[in-house]
Amino acid sequence: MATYTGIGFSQNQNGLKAAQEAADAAKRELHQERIDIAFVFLTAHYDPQEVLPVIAEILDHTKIVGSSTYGLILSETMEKRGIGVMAITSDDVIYETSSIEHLQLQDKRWAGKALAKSSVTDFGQKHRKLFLFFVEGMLEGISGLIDGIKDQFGTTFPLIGAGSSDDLRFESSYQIHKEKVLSHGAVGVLLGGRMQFGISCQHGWTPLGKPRVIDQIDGHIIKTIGGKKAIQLYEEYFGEEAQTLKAGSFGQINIRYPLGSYVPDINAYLLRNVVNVLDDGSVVCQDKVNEKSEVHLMIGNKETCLQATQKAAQDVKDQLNGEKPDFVLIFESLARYKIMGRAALQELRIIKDILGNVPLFGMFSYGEIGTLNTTVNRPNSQLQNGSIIILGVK
Amino acid sequence: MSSVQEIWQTLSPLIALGLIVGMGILSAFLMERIEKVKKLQSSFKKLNHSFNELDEQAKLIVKTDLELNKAQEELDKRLTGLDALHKVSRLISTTLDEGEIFRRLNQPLLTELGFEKHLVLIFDPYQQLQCHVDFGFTAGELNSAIDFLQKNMDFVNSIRDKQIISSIREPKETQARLIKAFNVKHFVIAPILDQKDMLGVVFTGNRSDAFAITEGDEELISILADQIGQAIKNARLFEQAYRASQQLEVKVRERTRQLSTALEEVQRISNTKSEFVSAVSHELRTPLTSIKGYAAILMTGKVGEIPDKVKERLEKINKHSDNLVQLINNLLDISRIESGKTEMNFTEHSIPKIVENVHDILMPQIKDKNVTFEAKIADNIPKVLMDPTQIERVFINLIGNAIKFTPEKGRITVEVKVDDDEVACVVSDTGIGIDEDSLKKLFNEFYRVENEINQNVKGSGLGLALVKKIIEAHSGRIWVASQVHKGSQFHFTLPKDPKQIKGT
Repeated sequence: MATYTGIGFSQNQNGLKAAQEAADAAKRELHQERIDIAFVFLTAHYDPQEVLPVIAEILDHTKIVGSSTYGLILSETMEKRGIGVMAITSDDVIYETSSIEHLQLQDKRWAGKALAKSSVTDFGQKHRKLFLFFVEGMLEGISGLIDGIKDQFGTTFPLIGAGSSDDLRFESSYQIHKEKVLSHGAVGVLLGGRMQFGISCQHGWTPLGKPRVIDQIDGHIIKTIGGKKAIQLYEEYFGEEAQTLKAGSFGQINIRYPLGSYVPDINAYLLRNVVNVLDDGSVVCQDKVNEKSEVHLMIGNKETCLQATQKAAQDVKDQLNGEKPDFVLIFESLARYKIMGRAALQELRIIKDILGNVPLFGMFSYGEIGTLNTTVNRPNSQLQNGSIIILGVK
Repeated sequence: MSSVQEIWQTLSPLIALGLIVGMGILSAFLMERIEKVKKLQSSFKKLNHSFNELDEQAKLIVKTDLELNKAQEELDKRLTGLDALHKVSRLISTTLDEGEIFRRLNQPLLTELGFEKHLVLIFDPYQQLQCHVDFGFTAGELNSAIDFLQKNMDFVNSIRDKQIISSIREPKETQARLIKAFNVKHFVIAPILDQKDMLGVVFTGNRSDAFAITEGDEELISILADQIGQAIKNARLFEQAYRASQQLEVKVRERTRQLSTALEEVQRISNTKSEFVSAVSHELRTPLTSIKGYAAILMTGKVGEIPDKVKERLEKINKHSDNLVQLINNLLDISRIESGKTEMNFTEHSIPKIVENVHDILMPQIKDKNVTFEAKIADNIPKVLMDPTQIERVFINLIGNAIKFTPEKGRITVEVKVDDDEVACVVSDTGIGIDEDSLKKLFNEFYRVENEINQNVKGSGLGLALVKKIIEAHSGRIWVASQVHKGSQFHFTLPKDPKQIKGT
């Protein structure tokens, strides 16, 4: 009655060798005949079509789910280049995977439901516990996909996920399902069986300045705030530099100073990074915000981000009744990684200090899917920005 | 009607009064309300003003925070870059193999400098750039980059003059060409220099606008190129030195072989000489014994009375025969010691006793010559492993020579002391001394110092050669110090530890 994990990582310049080294190391560390599932994360330096068959072959063609990423989170380090593989074998946890492609051409809600339904088909009557998925991080309308998944599992069913990322060129990210590389897709894992888990989602940003009201929205586009063009909020604070919010400008503002929409139900601020500015002064967010909600400019720093990490880890520990998890998955916003800079590695120490010396495996994402303040409210997952999601499985 | 009118007339003033009072109360109430609203408006205004003031302060905080964050990010980037540069420098400076330098550069560590792509290109002897390190490039991209550089050697040569070429200082047109050739958006190119000569170039670049370069990046890559240049220079110097030492080693081996051959030849000749001397000596000794015997018989007068003059001549024959026998014996001894045929009879023996014996043996000559003899023997002289007969021979030779070359009233001193792991003996005299040229040849066989005494006294020139052979057979050392007219000191040592004596 146990869960075993093996994590392998390689930075070999040769993709095939890197895949082989990472998969071999994971299999060796797992030290089990059977492999139930493997999570695979790759940075943009590697061709997934080339490396995936190697990993699948070494891992005996087990179920593989994964994603492209800006960087990997490992037990001892964070790396911006490499291939990471975490192989899992468990007597207690059951995994079923599913995927869907070409989301940009489909109704997101329908696609989300289809993704969830597909994972259920082979799961049978076993006890479902958690749905985890990776989705194209640059996809518009991820909330539709989330709603579709909720249609299948219910709004309070634990649901977490991460937006696939690339090397900050915002050009091509992908998802991995079994031996297939998906384009504009989503890949999900339904977990169940005799398992305990703890999930927490925190961000570490705090509101700044006076509150304003989002007057008018169009999906994920905010038209006006406080009776003015939405961009004026940033212009008032940053002057000319607000222009760097436009797509492709790669300024600091969008990741360092997101908008925070107050959500009274959970007494928290839902973060939204501005990803573009339209000619009419509207700002484009990665996903929808609530009309008439109170909005602030948000500010964060290394300390507040690390405090959020600490809180997230503590939440997970509390949900596991203080027990040490068998493994920990982490999905973390690139924004937080950029803000923490050289202090980012302290996160790993903080997590281990609280959860114990457990295997850590994770990725840096373009958007995280989870529920803020799970400890005070029933879960209702949404797309988050600037957040860290920690999942501990026992 | 009149009653109604009466009532109206009666009540109307009251109603009017009531209305006036009511209006008054209402007015007062309204006035109070208006006052309250005004106060609330004032408070709201103040609150709004405070909010706006706070917002202004927030704007200031945000701007400061943004600047601080930018500075922090640049600082983090520099620290990470410097840390990576330090690691890279240490890696490449700890090898003197040029190939190993490139192998060590060909790893993800270099990406910690903040660049996802890098190349190290070095000129070959034909001045063609050869790629030794490529990281983050596909095969196609690499070909395109090298092809561009090979076709634009003027550009390559300009890198040396410009010291640095980057996407923040090159004209747009050049930037566009390089961006296309290397498939990057931001780049730094620095020359790898060996003093004035350009050994090659370092290229680093990024594809994402999120990683635009700064002047700090230029400095970092410039330092990296210098470090690579220094490492290559060291490796090449080492290679040269190694090759030179290899050649020298070959020469030394050849010379050693030649010397060994020559030594073998010398040893062969020496053996032949020893065998010849030994054979001749034996051959000479037999007839000499007969000559001496016959002379002795003649001198007895048994074969007839011999005249005094003949007797005198026969005595001379006898005396010279003795000298010749002594000479032949010495020659035989030397040749035996050289060829290892003489067996030393090593026993533990006391040097002071030998000195005493020799003193007794030579006492008549000391007295005849009227010289003073003094023995300075230390108290702690241990017994030493030796052939006492041979060591006695050494002392007899050395003291005998001292008597011979020391004028009347002169002084002869024999000193014996312990010196570390040796027993050191010195035979000193206040004699005529030996000139510097003769000192070098003194222990050669048949060498005799040219001086007045030697001209008058006959000698074989074998005594000191024999002494040297005996001391060396005891694993000791012998040397001499002398000044003309001031005397000589013959030093020799014998090891205290028997293990140090070869062949024992």
